[in-house]
Amino acid sequence: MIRVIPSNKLLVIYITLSGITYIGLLTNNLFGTYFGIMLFLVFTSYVLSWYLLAILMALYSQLIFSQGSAELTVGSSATIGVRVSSRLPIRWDAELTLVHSPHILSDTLRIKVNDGDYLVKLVGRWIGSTRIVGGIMEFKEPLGGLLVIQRLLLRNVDVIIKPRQVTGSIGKTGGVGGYIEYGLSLEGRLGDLRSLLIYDYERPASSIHWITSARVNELMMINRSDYGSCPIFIVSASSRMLIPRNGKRPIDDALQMISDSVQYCGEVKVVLIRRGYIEEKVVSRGAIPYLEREVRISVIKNYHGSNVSVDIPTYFRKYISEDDLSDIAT
Amino acid sequence: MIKLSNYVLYMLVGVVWLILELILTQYTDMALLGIIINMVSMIIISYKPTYSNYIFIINASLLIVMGFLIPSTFLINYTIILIISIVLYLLLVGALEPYSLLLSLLIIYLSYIMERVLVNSPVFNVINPMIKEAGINPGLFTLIFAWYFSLFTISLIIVLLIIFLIKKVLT
Repeated sequence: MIRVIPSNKLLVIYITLSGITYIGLLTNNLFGTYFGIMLFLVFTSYVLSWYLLAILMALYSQLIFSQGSAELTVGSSATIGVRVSSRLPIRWDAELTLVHSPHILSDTLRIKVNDGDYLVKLVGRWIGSTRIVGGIMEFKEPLGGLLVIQRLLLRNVDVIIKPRQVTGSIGKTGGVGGYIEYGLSLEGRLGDLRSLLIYDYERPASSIHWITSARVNELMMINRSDYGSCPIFIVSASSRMLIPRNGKRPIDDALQMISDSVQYCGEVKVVLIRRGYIEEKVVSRGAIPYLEREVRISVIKNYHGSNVSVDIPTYFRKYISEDDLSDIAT
Repeated sequence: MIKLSNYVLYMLVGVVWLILELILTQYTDMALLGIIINMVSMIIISYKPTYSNYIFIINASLLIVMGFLIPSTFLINYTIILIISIVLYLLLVGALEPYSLLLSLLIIYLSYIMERVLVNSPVFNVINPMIKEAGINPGLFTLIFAWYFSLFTISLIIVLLIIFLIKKVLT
């Protein structure tokens, strides 16, 4: 879980230092020898001390988040406090990159170890329930980055990215896999036929049922249920839904539409279909991110690791548990 | 730690080097060239403080070249002043990490003790005639070899310690 990356500059500096020393030795010049060897001593002992301190700092550090979970809406951002504390009581500059799935975006943070909380801005990109599995802390030698020490610090934070809350009329989100919104929203706007009633003059004239009125010789109107029946969503649970196009995945559109309907219905039925697999689920608003997670994880498990990408340096991949890996994979 | 601007720091080190070069004028003509370049550098830095690192490298290289030309009477002092000015400048500029530098002083002290022990060891009495035959100054060779070897031993111990700690903590 620790990685040391030496720079080529280190080699160049050593060649220069030994060059000065050997020129002094070969030309029998005292200055060259003394100066070369003194620089060599100072430089080597410095790099060695830095290496030792950095390794100690990295080994005995831990990542602490200010909260165990975070919730945000897709397209918006939330901040979470993060702190790295080490048992070595030294304040050191470091860079911290959080390890998570591409559902959220976060920037590399410049922090000081053993300093207070730093705020990381998480931007929700895709709907879903995901996890920050930790962070990669990086120490860079200040004299031109001669050595870089990276340490993977594990600490889980659950992140839930909820769909947008739509305030206006439904059906503006566009189509899902070729099915446009009208089939979904028409019933929703008019409501189901419940009964015929004598016309109430406070209701709009459009609700008058003219044929019945003519038959009974009195103004009759249609009594509809408030929101109409809730649609059933048939969602493809295949990998195609999870492959982003221009940064957006088809499943996000589907989930957004489900979320829009759930606002009116409370709960909707969702049928997940894939080759050799059909499952019906009743989904409420809060459960939409978990639905995405279920689809994603089942798709990833079916792929057995091939075609699945994880946004983490290969070196550290083996240190993350299988469970966590499937959580941050896409 | 007090944070001085790069301009002030360069000026400080520039003045120290100017004094060094003034002393060197009695030993080598090149010191005059050094003084001129140092003065010009200070003027450039006054206008463009961002170039301080490059100008620092140019002037330091010039002083190193001059060092090869001076007689042995002033040599040790010159070398020590030069090293200290370079290290101090780098430390104050923020290119060196202070805690590591402190630890490195300890390492240098340990290797100094080891070097003293090594120099007095009878091994060199055997090697020295061979070195002399090869046309290399045996005194200088002993010096280099003893320092290298002691530092090498300490490095080895530190690297082994690091490997041991990594194994212990991460498994």
